[in-house]
Amino acid sequence: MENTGSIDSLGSKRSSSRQPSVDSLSSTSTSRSDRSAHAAKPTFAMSSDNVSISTDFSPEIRGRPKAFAKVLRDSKEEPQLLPKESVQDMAKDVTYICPYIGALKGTLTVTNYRLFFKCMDREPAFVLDLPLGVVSRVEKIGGASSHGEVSYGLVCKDIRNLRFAHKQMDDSLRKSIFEILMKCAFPVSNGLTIFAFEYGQVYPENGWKVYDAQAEYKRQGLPNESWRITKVNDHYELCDTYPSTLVVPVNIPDEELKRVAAFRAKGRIPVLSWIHPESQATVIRCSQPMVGVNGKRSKDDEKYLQTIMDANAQSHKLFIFDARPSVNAAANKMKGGGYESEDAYQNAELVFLDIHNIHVMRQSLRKLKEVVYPNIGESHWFSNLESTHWLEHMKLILAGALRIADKVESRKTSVVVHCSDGWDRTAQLTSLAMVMLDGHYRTIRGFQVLLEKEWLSFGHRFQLRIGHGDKNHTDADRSPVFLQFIDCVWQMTRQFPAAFEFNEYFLITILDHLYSCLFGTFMCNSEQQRVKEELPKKTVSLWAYINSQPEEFTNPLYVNYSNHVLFPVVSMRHLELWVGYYIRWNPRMRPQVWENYLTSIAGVMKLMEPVHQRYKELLAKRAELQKRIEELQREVTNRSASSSSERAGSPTRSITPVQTFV
Amino acid sequence: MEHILTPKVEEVKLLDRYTAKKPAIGTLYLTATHLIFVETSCNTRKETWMLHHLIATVEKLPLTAMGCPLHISCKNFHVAHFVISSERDCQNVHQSLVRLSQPGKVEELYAFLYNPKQDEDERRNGWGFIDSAMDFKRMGLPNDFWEMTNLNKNYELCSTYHSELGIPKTASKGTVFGSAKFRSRGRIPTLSYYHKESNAAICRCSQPLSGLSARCVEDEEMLQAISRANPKSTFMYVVDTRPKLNAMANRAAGKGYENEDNYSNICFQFVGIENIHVMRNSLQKLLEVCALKSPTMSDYLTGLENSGWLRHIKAVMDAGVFLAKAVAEDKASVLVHCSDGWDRTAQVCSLASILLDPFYRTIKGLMVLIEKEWISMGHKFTQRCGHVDGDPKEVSPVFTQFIECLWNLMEQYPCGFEYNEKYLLEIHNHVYSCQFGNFIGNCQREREEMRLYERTFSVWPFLWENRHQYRNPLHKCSLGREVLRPSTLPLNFKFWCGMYNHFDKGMQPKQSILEHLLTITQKKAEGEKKMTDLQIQLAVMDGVLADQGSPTGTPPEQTSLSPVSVSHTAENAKPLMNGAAVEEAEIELVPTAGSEKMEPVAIEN
Repeated sequence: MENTGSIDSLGSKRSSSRQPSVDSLSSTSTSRSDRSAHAAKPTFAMSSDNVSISTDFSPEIRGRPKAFAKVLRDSKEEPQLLPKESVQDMAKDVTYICPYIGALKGTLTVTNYRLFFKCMDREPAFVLDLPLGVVSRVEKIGGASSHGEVSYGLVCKDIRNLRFAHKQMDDSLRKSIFEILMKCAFPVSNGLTIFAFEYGQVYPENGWKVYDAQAEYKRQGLPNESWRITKVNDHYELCDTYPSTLVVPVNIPDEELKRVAAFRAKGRIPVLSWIHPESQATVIRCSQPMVGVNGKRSKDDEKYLQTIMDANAQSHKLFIFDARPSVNAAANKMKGGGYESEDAYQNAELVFLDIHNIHVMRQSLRKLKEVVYPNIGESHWFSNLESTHWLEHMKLILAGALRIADKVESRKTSVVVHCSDGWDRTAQLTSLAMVMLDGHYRTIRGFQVLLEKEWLSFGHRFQLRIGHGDKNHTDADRSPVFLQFIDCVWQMTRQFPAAFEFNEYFLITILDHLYSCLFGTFMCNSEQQRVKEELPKKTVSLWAYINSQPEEFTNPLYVNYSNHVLFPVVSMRHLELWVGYYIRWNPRMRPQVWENYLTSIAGVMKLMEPVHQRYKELLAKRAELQKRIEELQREVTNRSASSSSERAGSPTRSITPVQTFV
Repeated sequence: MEHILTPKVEEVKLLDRYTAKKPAIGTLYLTATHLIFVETSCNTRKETWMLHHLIATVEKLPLTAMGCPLHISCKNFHVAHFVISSERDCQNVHQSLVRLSQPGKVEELYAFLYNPKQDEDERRNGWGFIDSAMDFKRMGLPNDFWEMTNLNKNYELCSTYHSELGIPKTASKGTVFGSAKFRSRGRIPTLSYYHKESNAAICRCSQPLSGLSARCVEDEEMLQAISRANPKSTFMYVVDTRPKLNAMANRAAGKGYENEDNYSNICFQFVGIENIHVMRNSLQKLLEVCALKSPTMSDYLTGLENSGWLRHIKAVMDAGVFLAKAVAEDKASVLVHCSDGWDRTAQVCSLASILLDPFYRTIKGLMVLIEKEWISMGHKFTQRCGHVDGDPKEVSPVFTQFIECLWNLMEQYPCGFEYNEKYLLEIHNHVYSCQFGNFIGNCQREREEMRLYERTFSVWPFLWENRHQYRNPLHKCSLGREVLRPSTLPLNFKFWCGMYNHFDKGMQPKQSILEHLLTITQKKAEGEKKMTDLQIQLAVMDGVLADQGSPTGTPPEQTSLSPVSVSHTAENAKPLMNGAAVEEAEIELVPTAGSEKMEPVAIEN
């Protein structure tokens, strides 16, 4: 009964308040679904409440007291609710058609936060528990069949689809549970509140305080003699999609900034994202210049870029990275946009990075889902994967970021990065380059700062790209831009397994809560909107949850390489599909799990991370050993001290202090 | 030595295979056994050694402005592109290498020269280190159903089998010899693995000479005997590892496969692993993909798929999984064969053994398995590895595939194996290098005729001595209990960089978890030692132990500390940029802060 999967998930915070020690125990467990389970509060997984975990987990680490588990087991067919979560409807005899184990009959519950399905016919019971935010679309499939059953399909944002069937209601007046579901799944379209605004969980830390722009710039050594922090956007008047705190060259007064803003799409002027602590080379981000078909120029913009170049004494050159393919950049001229001509910008070199737009990326992910969900064909895996182009996009993004990092680190040259609006590809590139250049962003908190800064404060349009609570699933503004960024980070963690403080589960948790609508972090499109909606006051930040149990997300292999620059290899040979994310619903992916899956009929794959588990054990043993050595050493020192004092006159022994193992 | 025309060439360039990095300049030496390149362009002396016998192809390309290119590729997938300034030197080196890399007879192989300074006793003990007969004892043989016979003592029953064979107790001598007449090359059904828990056995043989309609009573009796040796099961599987089409083609030549009507209670199954020629060509295509400098995604993925290599690896794995499942779940015995029963059969039987038995997932267990299923059962190492100049059509990467299957398994079960990737690579290397005698000869009889046990050394004790390097720090015995059921979804079969790019430093992962773990375990061992030292010291102070005469002025902990602190600095200073950087850093200990100015390895475009 220990090893509970989803059950601890449900309201594990509450449980922790009751049994804090227990929670801290469970938090070290490494099975991914388990984690996703607690993480979940909101579970993200089809999960069983009692999947037996194979023996490779030491029981002392993962067990929960039986009594506690039992209480939860008695919770019958309803989910454990979160604070402010309420059941909206419940239906018996609903069939969930699992692509891996077939039809399961059980009870379906819809709350204002989640969909919860439990089949009690099996031992242990089968549980499917997902936040409604994950649902992208609900559709009725066909009419009533001969058995009088109606069938519904749920398309999810996290690379899976679900299918349910249930008996046609005799009482046509009563709304079907799926109609309730459609209402609750898309609160924005139905004039309801997104659950993040209700969820009142209190965490020890206020996650909204993780990022403080001033503090982050101070960490980078800013302001300094060349760069200043401007208040010109304090009320988002210069640019409504930018943060209030901006770093610009010292020599450019705010008045000039406004003129530059007029020449940049949506007023997104070139501002500093990162500065090299030694060479003073900078990473600058902006939107495209409004060149148009006639090749319009702006003296202010030209002077501005020249000033940026001059701020770095080490180089007499400036690289402008246009993330787009040159054809797209040229096509933008028709819409008044375009790119910097090298004639107008002296000493600047323009490079196109050939990264495609949000629509191409959306299509690519759609194809990828077709290839990997629910089942993977036995043949033509590589050509199927190739046809999605997903890895190719990943390669271009990483290669672009690598070139940026290389220019800054090796050539000591400042770079300007933009795409069209500078909130999608630009965010990918600057943030990845910063991960390569600055070890701080490879820590758990540093990465949070990076997301808050480069993605949230600089106006990556999360609301539009993800479509929180919006039923309009065909919206052309939706795109997996942020997912690609996380995927690229994952690719880097594969190449540098000891350079990141966080683990794979951290990245998956971020992606899960990107959709869950439990936390306020990824709500809205810009800092201005977040301030207006009072998100920090009305919602909980994802970081509050993550930082309340950092050990869950810590990579045991981490060695602090903060002074190192990472240059990943972006050859095709070194990129791989992130199986742990894209194919995580397929229980066949993890052989150790498959058997459990079949015998216990758990809906979830109990993802095992035996490597990390074993690694942690090794580390623990070593730490214990070291402690013991230190004790012994101290004893030796003490005694030799006393004995040497007895033997007056004998030379004092110099005892070398124990080295700290790394 | 008479083949070496130019023993030393200076100012030779060694190009990087993948990037346009500046070539290394150095001196090329040809010795009786090795080609050695000593880099002179950098401050640290860097040597590249290539054993002549490992060289698969050596190719002289037309003269270029830089000089005369010489491309060498080895059987362990080491590839080197040299440029020699003088065409004449290049010609000479080429000519020497062509001759040296293809010895005309077995006696020229390195193993006959190699002398690790051991005496005769050590040599003899070394050869006795691994004994496949012991493994049958471990499985509980002989028992009520199976016995070990020496019917093949003088290799009269089957010239390519081992002299000791496991056969069912109920099979009479007449049955055995009769069956041998009906099996290709006399390779009768014999025991490969006995699964104690289920009483089911894996047996192996060659194809029957059934032709279109031939039958053999003794052979039918033989199968019956195997089936009866597992009394709880009502049937047995007969697995033909070939594709059905190939097996049918063999019928026309008087060979073929078992007719289910003629044998009672057999369940016949094809598993469709391609033959040695398809595998050879597939590897060739794989290596072509591997040689692409900066492939696009479509070049790479389509190339990988079209090579078919990973599909073949999957086919072997699928067959192994089928066998293991039959034995462990259906509790039925299995008889496996292909054509001659020494290639695909060896792959499949040994893989199934690993899936079924945790013993073979240990360092020693793998030695036993290779000795038992490959060496003693007549996998034709001399021919398949092309040790001596011979028919190129007999060369095929059958053993490589087995090792690769094993690696894929290890990827899925990171804690399930006692050994690590290095061990596999080392074994693979030794199979081709012929430094030791184990993998010379095509069968046991040949080895005895060559007197290998008197003239060469065995590799197993050598590997055993270095076992600390091959240990998987993640290994957990408790995990090893169960039968492995790997996933054989195609995406679980990955390109093995560690094998095919082993010698291309820039292509290796920047940080290896394995290395990291090995360091930790090593430090743990050091720490344990230090703890013991301290405990002894305390005991001495307490007067419990006699002072071992160490002068009081030199505290022992200082000496025991120093190695730890040294490796401590070394690890801290190790930068993690590109491969080249790491290589240099290992020698120079580059200080950390801000001094890394490495160029990215591959900014591809």
